[in-house]
Amino acid sequence: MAHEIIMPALGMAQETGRLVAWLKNEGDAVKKGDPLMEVETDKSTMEVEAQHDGFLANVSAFENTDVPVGEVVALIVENLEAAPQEKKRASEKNNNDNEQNLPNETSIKKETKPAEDFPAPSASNGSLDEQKIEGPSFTKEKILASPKLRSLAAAENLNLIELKKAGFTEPFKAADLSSLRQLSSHQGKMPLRNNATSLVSKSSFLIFMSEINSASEKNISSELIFASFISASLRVIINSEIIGIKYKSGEELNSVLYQDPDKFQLENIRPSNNDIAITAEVCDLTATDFIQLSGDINSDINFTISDFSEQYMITLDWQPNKISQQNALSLLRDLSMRIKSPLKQLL
Amino acid sequence: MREITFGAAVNEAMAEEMRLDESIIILGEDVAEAGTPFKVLSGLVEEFGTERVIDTPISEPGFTGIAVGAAMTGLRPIVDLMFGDFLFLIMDQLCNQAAKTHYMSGGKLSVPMVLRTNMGATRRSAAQHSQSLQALVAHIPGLKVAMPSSAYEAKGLMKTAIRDNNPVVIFEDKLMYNDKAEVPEEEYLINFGEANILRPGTDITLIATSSMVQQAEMAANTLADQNISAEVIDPRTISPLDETTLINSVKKTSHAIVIDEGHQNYGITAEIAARISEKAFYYLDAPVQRLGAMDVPVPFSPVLEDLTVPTAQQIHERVVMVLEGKI
Repeated sequence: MAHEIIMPALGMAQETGRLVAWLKNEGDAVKKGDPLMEVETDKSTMEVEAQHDGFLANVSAFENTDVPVGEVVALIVENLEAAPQEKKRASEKNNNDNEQNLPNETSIKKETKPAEDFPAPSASNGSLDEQKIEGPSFTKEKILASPKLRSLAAAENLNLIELKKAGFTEPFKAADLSSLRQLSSHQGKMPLRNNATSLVSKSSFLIFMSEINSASEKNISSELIFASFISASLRVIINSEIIGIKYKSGEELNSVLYQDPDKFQLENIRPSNNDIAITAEVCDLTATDFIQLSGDINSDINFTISDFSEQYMITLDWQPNKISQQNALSLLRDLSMRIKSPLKQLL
Repeated sequence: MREITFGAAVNEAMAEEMRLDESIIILGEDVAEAGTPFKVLSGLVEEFGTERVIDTPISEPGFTGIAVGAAMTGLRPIVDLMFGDFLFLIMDQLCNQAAKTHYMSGGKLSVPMVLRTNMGATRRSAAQHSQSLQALVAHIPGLKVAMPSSAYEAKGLMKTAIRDNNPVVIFEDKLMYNDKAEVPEEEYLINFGEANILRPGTDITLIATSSMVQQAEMAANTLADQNISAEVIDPRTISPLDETTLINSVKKTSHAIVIDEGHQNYGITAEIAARISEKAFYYLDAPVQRLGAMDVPVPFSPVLEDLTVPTAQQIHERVVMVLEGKI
């Protein structure tokens, strides 16, 4: 337990007192009633006595300096090891105070999940590093936001600074909450995803399907053809021996796994029970009324296939950190081509 | 339901109460023969006689002092102060004596007195007969302040005021005396400290008193055309103030504008806005706005006078600014 020693107010309108001399040295044992320091104010001096037994520690005011009334100038601690490490000179403390009081942002920052781009400063990082990471322009400025937005954001542990970084106009209001949620989720675990959509005529594909079904005895579904085509297209951009495709289809969107479906005859493609890495996910909505479905995406590449009158709508949704836009677009182009002119596959 | 004017509603309230209680008297300038310059009290002296409807000399401090003394000793006087601007003349009688007697006598005396007076500009009456001084009175503990916004409100609040055992000041808008509203024939009272939600809404709360209630309702109508849903609330009495209703509304809408015809500086609008900021702060999505009378002596020039009072159009414009985030 540490007791604070403060600069006392000795006069009516006194703002500072002059510390004339310390009468004990840092680390000295003191007893209650021992004179600790000599203080001068309005031409009179007096001695300040210890109010507790212990050791004098954390002396933070120099002799012959003016110290604001109420300022802590030292501590009396029960044992020296327990003395707090932090040591500030009284003269410097004013500057530090400003830093501590100003950025509410700093305290807000601590509450939010550490984002990938902004790793939490470790203890070994100096304060300089910390400033570099957070950017002085964001930490030192006040954020203008309505009280309602502040309370809503606080309830969801969201940091308003994301709106500022994204260039939204202040003051932020409750209507900005949805943007803040999005920005924060991108900042955190869920990366921003990109997507592209193409529309492909069904006609050749349907003819192709009916012809191979009349040739073979089995009933080959569009699912098997799609899985095979996607697998073949993926091979163009993916350097992997094994292609694993998680395929969701049917009204219930149940999922199955296909391993290298492009390496099999269409009638021989079977779902795999092997424990293989998933290269891409396919959400086949052709058996449903939906044309789009978002969320629940776990792989870097995700295809959504849906019926769009006489066409298939194919959406590719990719993780830009892993797949370049160039590769993504050539992947989508390649797949669209295969569906548009399936017979070319056989040549 | 029948419709009667604001003035007739006040008259009816006083007459009904005077029939019930013989200790009620009226005193003031031109209350008997003339029935006041606004003819609100016409007919009362004929029914109740000059013993109970008393024309006084032109001395506001004198007759208000008489009324305070009469109230302490058993009568229930209604003081008629011809213009609200004359409040400055009776400050000691009202604020030092009437407001404090019950407290300072340890509850042994009370002052069951009603001071009915008026407010409101745009009557071309110049700076000394056009002020709205409700804030001056509402500032004093011990005084209740009612601000009726229609004939219905005027009757119900006046009857409650007369039955109150403490001094009540009623501010009537002198431009509303001829406005008609539905007033039931059967007796009713309006409790003090119970705000009236005239129009429920979800986007913004308009808190308006007296004459400004009409303006707020007009603004709410035009705002509805723009799909803005404004809730209009009349506090009815500014002291006591129904804080709960106001705060709950602002918690719902997250936006508020307070409108009162008194000067904006240090006024009713300031007090209500402050309470909202204190108690609904974390629900606010924009700063609470005030619309009061311009902080100038009320001009005699009609063109200038009209500019000093908040209007439905100003309210409408301010609402749009608040909701569009321009404030």
